[in-house]
Amino acid sequence: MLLENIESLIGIESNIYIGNFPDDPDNICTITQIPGRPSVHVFGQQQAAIRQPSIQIRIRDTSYTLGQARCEAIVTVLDGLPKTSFDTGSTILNMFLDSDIIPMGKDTKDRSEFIMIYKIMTE
Amino acid sequence: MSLALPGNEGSVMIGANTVAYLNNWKLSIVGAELDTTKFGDTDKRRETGLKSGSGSATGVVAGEDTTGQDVLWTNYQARTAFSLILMVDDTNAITADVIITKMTITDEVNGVATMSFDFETDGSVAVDTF
Repeated sequence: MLLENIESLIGIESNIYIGNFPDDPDNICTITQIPGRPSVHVFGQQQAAIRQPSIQIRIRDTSYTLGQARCEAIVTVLDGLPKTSFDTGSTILNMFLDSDIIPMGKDTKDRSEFIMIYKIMTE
Repeated sequence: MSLALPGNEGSVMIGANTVAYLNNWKLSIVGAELDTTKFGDTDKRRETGLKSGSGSATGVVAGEDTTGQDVLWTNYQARTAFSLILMVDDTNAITADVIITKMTITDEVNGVATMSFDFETDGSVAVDTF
């Protein structure tokens, strides 16, 4: 659900994949969940009051320059995202880019890859 | 049989109302001792003094908690004592009139606003069960 919510925020990307990174097409964006930080629990509630997942956004592009520009466009939208509620009932309290954009070099088909990690707080 | 009391069953209450979004409380009860040693004594002598308590609680700022966190602020501003119930679980609790001595709000740009308050007890501390 979280990943789909984030997907809805980055409509600037056209080939978005949730949880997998297919070899085709060339230019893609993948969103996957990675280990986050401990949840915040409060007295009187079994479920966490605040959860702190992290996600990884992976960009692949045949052009290094265009790939980097796509990353920057995503950063503009997601980094520092203000409190945002979704129709699904969940709310992202905040979201921050961690470690900036990480260039991963080129794959065996000479396509440039980039990774971004975002730390998120949800309610 | 498990004798441990899990921390997540605790709470902090003002009257019948639970203070929302707290996740930690602490209370220290001390009994003063008076040194009555006099010249010529070869051993320290002591007499019991007054008991007192102090403590704190922390949590996340709850935006709309009119019967809980808001009451803490109101009593702090008015400098009034009020009854605070520190619950370990549904049956084990400590009740005392307290005066809030310090309120702290912390807000980090990449976190959520958190709060804490320190208090001193005013009068006796009632320990229920344990």
